[in-house]
This record gives sequence, C-alpha cells and structure tokens, in this order.
Amino acid sequence: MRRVVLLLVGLAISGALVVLAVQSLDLDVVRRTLSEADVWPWVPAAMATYVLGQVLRGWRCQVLVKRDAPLTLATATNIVVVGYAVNNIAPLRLGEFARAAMLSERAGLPFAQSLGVTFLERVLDGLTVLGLLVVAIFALGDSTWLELVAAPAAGIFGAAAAGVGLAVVAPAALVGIASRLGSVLGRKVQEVAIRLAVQTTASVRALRRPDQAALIVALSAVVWLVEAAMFLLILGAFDLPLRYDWALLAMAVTNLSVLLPSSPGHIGPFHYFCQQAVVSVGVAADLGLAYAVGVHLAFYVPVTLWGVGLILWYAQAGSWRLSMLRRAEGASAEAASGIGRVVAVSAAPSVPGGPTRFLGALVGALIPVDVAADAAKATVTTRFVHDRLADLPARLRLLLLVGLTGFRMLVVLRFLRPFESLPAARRRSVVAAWAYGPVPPARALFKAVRSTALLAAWEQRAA
Amino acid sequence: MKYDVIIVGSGAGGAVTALECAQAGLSVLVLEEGRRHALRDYGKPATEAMGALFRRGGMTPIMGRVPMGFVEGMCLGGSTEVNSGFWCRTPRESLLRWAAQYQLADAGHDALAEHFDWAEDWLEVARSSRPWPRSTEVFARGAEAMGWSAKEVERMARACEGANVCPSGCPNGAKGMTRRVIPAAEAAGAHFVTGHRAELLLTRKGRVEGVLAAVRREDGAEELVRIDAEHFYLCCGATQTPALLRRSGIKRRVGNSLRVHPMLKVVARFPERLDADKDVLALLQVREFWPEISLGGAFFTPGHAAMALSENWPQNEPLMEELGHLGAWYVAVRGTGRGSVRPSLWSRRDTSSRYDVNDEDMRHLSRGMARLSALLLAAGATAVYPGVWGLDPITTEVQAARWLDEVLPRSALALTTVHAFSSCPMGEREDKCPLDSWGRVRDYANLRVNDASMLPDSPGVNPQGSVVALARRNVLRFLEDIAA
Ligand SMILES: Cc1cc2nc3c(=O)[nH]c(=O)nc-3n(C[C@H](O)[C@H](O)[C@H](O)COP(=O)(O)OP(=O)(O)OC[C@H]3O[C@@H](n4cnc5c(N)ncnc54)[C@H](O)[C@@H]3O)c2cc1C
Repeated sequence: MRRVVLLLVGLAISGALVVLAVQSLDLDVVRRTLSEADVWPWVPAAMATYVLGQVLRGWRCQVLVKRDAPLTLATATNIVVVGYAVNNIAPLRLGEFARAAMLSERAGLPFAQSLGVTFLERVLDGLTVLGLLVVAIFALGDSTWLELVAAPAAGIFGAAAAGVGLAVVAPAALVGIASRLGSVLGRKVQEVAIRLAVQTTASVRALRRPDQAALIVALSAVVWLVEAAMFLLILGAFDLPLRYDWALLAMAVTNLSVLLPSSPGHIGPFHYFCQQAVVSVGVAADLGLAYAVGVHLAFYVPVTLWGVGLILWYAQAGSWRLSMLRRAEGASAEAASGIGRVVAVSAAPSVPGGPTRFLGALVGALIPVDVAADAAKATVTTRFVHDRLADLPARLRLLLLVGLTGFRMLVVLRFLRPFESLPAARRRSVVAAWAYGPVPPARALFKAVRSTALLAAWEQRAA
Repeated sequence: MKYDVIIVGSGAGGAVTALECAQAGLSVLVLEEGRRHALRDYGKPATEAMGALFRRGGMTPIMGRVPMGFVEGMCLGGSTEVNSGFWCRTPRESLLRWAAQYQLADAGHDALAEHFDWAEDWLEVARSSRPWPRSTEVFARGAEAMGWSAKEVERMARACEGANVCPSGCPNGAKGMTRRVIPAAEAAGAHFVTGHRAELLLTRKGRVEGVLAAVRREDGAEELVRIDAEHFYLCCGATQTPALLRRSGIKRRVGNSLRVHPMLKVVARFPERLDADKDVLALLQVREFWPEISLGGAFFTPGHAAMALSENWPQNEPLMEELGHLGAWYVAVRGTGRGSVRPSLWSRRDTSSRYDVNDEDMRHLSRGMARLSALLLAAGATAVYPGVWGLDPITTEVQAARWLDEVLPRSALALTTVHAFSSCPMGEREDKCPLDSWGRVRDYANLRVNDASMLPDSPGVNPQGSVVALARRNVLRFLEDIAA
C-alpha cells in the first residue's frame, strides 16, 4: 500500500512539474528549437561523456568492494549501468535495489553489504554534487539556489554522512547498538541484527584506508565534473555559450532535484529544474526547456539501452539454470539411466569445420621451414593449432577472431593481396613482426597460435 | 536409488574422499568429467595427450594484467594423473598464517602430521631411487656454488622410470592416485563413473538434493541425468568447484580469492650434454628463499623447449639445434595477488578465471629470475634465456644481479602456472571464507568442498600434499559427524 502511495505521489509530482515547465510556453517554439539543435558533434560527444562517467562510477564501485571481491572494471561498470537503467524504466528508485542485488550476485557479497555500498555511493554522490553546487553558486554570484536546493539537500546528505562517518570510525558501536535493540525482541532477532550490522558496517570498509578513501573521494569529484561536461556539451548543441559554471549549476540542481519522488526516468523534476537552472542564468524559458530535453536524452538513451541490453544478456545466461531446475523437478523415475533419472536429452553438437587455408598459411609461417615443407607434419601441426584454438573460451575465441581479421585486413591493405597469397618469406617476416615485435597487443594476439604451433612442430620434428 | 555420498571430481581431493567414505561403508558415487584411460594410451606426444587429458585441451588461460598459461587435468585421477608428482608438506609458516588470518581451526602442523603420514604411505611418496638426471646434477652444482640450501623433492611416483612424459600420463603407471587410491576405493565399493560432468546442484532450503550431470551418449547426443544423495562433496579443482557452485546459485564469497603460484621459465645452455629430454625433470628445489620464492626444474621436451624460448624466438631459434645441451628451470613465487573465478556469461561450458599479478609478485619473480640465472651460470651454463620478451640472454652473474633490484616489465613476461587454489577458502572468518574450517559450505548442511579451492591461500610449495592431507582430515571429521 505504501508503495502504491509513493508511486502515485511520484507520478503526481512528475505531472505537476511537467505542467510547471511547459506552462505559459509556446510549445511550437520549443519543438522548433529542438529540431534546429546542432546534433553533431555535440549530442554524440555528450553521450560519450556520460558513458565515460559511468565507467568512472564503475571504477569507484570496484574500489569500494576491492577488499571483499575482485570485480573487473567492466563488471563494476555494468552493475552501475543496470542500476541507472532500472531507475530509468521502473518507478520508486528500484534501480538502487537492482544495483545492490546485482552487486551482491556478481561479487558474492551479502545483500545487506551490497545495499550498504550502494547507499554509500549515493551519499558520496549527494555530497559531491552539493559541493559543486556551492562552487557554481559562488562562481555565478547568485544565491537563488542556496535556499531552494542546497539547504534541504545539505540536511539530508549531512545526516546520511554522519551515519556513514559513524560506521567508518566506530563500527563496533553500531554493532553494539544493533545488538541492544535486537535483544529486546529475542535472541534470534538479536543475532540477525548483529549480522546485518556487521555486514552493513563492512560496506564502508574501504573508507577506513586513507589511500582508498582519497581515491574514492577523488573519483566521486571526477565523476560529477565529467557529468557537468555532458551538460556543457549540450549547451553547444543549442548555440548557448560554453560556460562551465552554467553547466555545473545545471548539473548540480538537476541531480539534486531527482531526489524527489517522480516517474521512471525522473521525467518532470529533471526537466523543470534543469530548465530553471539555465533560466536563472539568463536563458529564455523555451530554450531552457529544449536544453533540458536535450540533456535528458543524452542522459537517458545510452544508459537505458546499455542497461536493458545487459539485463537481457544476464537473463539469457541465467535462463538455462531455471529451465533445468524446472525439468529436474519433473524428472520421472521411469526414465532412469544407470545412476539416476534422465531429465533432458539434447541433440548431438554439430561437428566443427577443419582448419582454413589462412590458418595453414599462418602456422606455416611460424614453424621451422623443414616442418612446414613436410606436408604430413605441417598438416598435423595445423590441425593441432586449430583444435586448440577451438578449445579456447568463447570470449577469447571471439577476440582472436576479431584480431586476426584485423591482421588480415591490414595485410591486404599493405600488400594488396591476402596473407595466404604472399610468398612464404614475406609471410614469415610479416608474422614475425607481429608475433615477436615490440607491440604488446600484437604479441598477445599471436601468442596462442605461435605457442601451440611451436609445440606441435617441434614435437613432430623430434618424433 | 539415492547414494549416501556423491563426489564430483576424482583428483587429489576427490579420490581420497571417495576412499575414506567407501571404507567407512557408505554408498559412494564419483562423477568424473574426464575419461578413464588405459596405461597403453599414456605417454603419447603432446599433440595427442593435450586433447585427451587436459581440460579444454590445455587452453584455459588465467586472464589479468599478465595473462597466464594454466592447465588442469581432466581424466580419472584429475591433475594428479598429469603432474610431475612432487610432494611437499604444507610449511608450518603457511599453517600459522591460515590460523591467524582465516581462523582455520585444528589444522596446525601436528594435527596434520597423521594425515601426511597416511597419504605418504598410501601414495608411496619417496625420493627417486634412480641416479640423478644430468639436469638435476648441474642444478645441485649451482646451488652448492651459491651456498644455498636445496633439496631433492619427494615424489608421488614410486614406479617412475624416467620416461619424461609426466604431462601425458605415465605409461608405467607410476602415479599414486590411480595406482593405489582409486583402485582401493573401487574395491571398497565406490562407483566411479567417467565422462559425467556435473552441471548443476539442485538445492532446496539450505540442502542439496541432487545433482544434474551431463553425459555424452554414443550417438553424440547429450543426456542430463538427475542423481540424488544425502551428502555432496565437490572436488572439481580450483576453477571448476567455484564455477559449479556459482552456476548452482551458491555465490556467497565463492570464487573471490583465486590464488596461484605464478611461474617464469628459463632455458639454460650448458657446454656439456644434459639430454634433458631423455630423463625426468630436475628433481631438486632450492629452498633458500622459500616459501616466497622457489627454484626448480621444469618439464623439458623439444616442444616445451621451443615454447619456453618463444618470447624471443627469432634470436633463440638456432639454439634448438643444440637441444642436448639445454635444460629448463623455473622460478615460482607464492602469489600474493588475488583473482576470481566465474562461470562465463558467454558459454555455459566456459569458466572465466582472473588473477592479478601484484607488485610483490613482480618483485619476487624478478629476484627469483636473478637468482636462478646466477645459480645456473655458477653451475657452468654459458647463457640463460628467460621467458621475457626483449631480454637478451644472461651470460654473467653480474647481468643476472641487475634483476635483484630492478623489476621486470609486466608486458614482457610470459607466465604460466599449474598451481591454482583458494577460490573457496575455508576458515572461521565468515567475511572471507565460504567454507567452515572443515570444508562445509556455509548455509548448506550437506554440501562440502574438498579440493585445492579450500586452501585458505597459497601454501608456497607444490600443493597436492596439502590438498590430500586436508581432504583426509575433513572427510574423517565428516564421517565422525554422521556417525554421531
Ligand atoms: C601439469 C601439472 C603439473 C603439476 N605438478 C604438480 C606437482 O608436481 N606437485 C604438486 O604438488 N602439484 C602439482 N600440480 C597441481 C596438483 O596436481 C593439483 O594442485 C591437485 O591435483 C589439485 O587437486 P584437486 O582435487 O583440487 O583437483 P584435480 O586433481 O584437478 O581434480 C579435479 C577433477 O575434477 C574433475 N571435474 C571438474 N569439474 C567437474 C564437473 N563439473 N563434473 C565432473 N568432474 C569434474 C576434473 O576433470 C578433474 O579430474 C600440477 C598440476 C598440473 C596440471
């Protein structure tokens, strides 16, 4: 019931702010301003900047959980993006929970700890944005936003920061409080309360090491400075002056305003406050609204597409398990094999093809001349390399394919002939330049091929 | 039918677990993904053996800032069937660290001694009774010249005849796990089924009810079979155990702390003939810098020599004409970096493993390479060829000493490892360990892990001894518990 009320309140606020934003505006002018905006290069640049901001957020998330789980930058970024995307398409800031759930799943952390990390990220965001708002206010010398946005936000984030600070410096005290409160409701509840308190205080562990705390604070600042750069680039799209102080103000006011309950994607608060921020520095209201729509698109589109793509990708990876569990439940005793009950039978996999002419030529260029000249040995070697490359994990196979395709294209561009048609001596020199040359990624690309080729060729030679 | 115990994996941990459970009278089923091979199929060239005996034909690299070649056995007996058999007890220091940092209970030096005694007896662990190969002699000479303590390592390969085919399976049947432990487990009633891959654990309310195993039929189709049991042991090795747990939805702290012993190989040329490809690898290990840094002999065949020289192949290729004068050695460090294991999102069959070689690992690898090179030169080598791109052969001890203080560049290193562990560490520290001190998966009453993944962190020595001894300790405790 509470959720429904919150949802309705959010939608009402969204609606009201949309009305406020468009009130007394000529919407045709807004539409025309939007259609006349210089999309190129500003909007793609703004979107790319926003994506960079997400990667930086991923980096921060990676540092926050580093002591508990080694997340890759890609995974950590994906976790952040899923959170943003869910916020964009679902109400009630469900994205924060989705983000915590995914962090818990990917990192193997207890949910309470992941939620704590997500909360900490949000507190850091709030404090940073607040700080940047104050900077913008001083830079512009206009204190309108001080009372309207900065003061209430300072109250909220100040209280949250105090809680975080306590968890950082006195985790035992918090656990003690949880224990005492829990004990009132019996032993079981007390145990759960202690466990949750321990897990929650663990979420701020990274802040206890000064070097990591400094990195986290610095990253938070960079994240929001980069976000302000996105706001700046969209100014360019509407032929507005490229003033970073304007962008900073718009970014800070808009991001603090989305704390208000609203519709998915923050429609309403985002547009109204972004518009009002630029109006306060002298931009016309209709142009201001067009600007707000432009920023919202740059903010909404890439991250939502990226996040939804990820959700589908993770869902398909998890669906196999669910379908197998369902089948296992229904496995009947009649369909018994020697040791258990048959649950499913899948068709025989297709037989993979043999080595290509290109691979044969590549292997020939890597192995000793006499082995390459011996058709039988060369064939065994090429087959071995082919089979081993087929054994590589799918992701590495794809990378290898992309890399070798790039290699082949560069060879064609340089020699106007495919690699296979080059004279043998030329093939050797080209391959040596890549496989043993000074460029680490080129060497890495050839590593699997050259190692397996040399292993097989020299075993053949000795046989 | 419902088994008392299902054990997934028949390697160092799984075989011992099966033996003890079967001898205690439990009905035991061991699911092994790899095949059972006859001795006549062993000792084949790498071109045949890799596909038959190793997981994904040996193409299971561990990614990270310095990608590492990593292989693990996939056959009855697991990696013990393709390893060189070197056997070490867990250093006292490692056990103390495990107690201090992971609160691993009752696993001190004295508590483990009986399990090591048992294992060494069963697996016929012993020093070689054959004369030392030349590669061992020169290594001993170098260690003596440097004044460093070195020791011939005992091996779990009693019947070794020096065929030098360890990674292809021993045609003389010297490997202890398939020679003694698995036959004894079968004699006691354990049922080993090969070619069965455990895909998924079926869980309900804090218990595992069954396992789904995939088996390839004669016609090439794949059958998924549900098998139920009272208790489950995962002994799939350091990468596959966490992958199976996570695939089954058991994720808390699982696969977050993979550790390895990163290994850098060097080839050295001696004026005299070593014929290292005609006898077993060097049996001596330098213990002077142990357990942080160990130096020892690496497997050597023409193919492996070519791979070890391949970083600087255009310069090194002519060396292959002097194969009889070459030998290969390694420096291995107690990895202090950390990695992870996850089932791949790209393919159900893939596992993605990462390990980040940290600065301390790099310092130890560099120093280790300096020392190993100095030792080999002191032993009379004319040049040492490290697996480091762009590094000229080291021909004087002074050149080697450079790397005592300087650090090798990460991007130039060719690292490998065959020692992976600690992806599901055990101990009482809930914030680090998904397993309790006896290998039970937290929150699951009847699920246990008993393989290399349970080691709290790097033991710093060849790990199979630690795996076997701890596995026995854990399974005996389990048998006591269920008897009670
Ligand atoms: C080439 C090589 C050389 C080595 N040399 C030494 C040495 O000299 N000394 C030393 O101490 N250590 C050595 N090691 C390491 C040592 O062999 C391992 O640490 C040890 O065997 C690990 O034991 P384990 O039980 O964890 O895994 P393993 O022995 O690897 O056994 C795991 C088994 O589980 C099976 N399995 C995995 N997933 C599934 C599944 N889903 N379903 C069914 N079955 C599954 C695998 O096929 C495998 O047979 C070497 C390893 C290798 C690969």
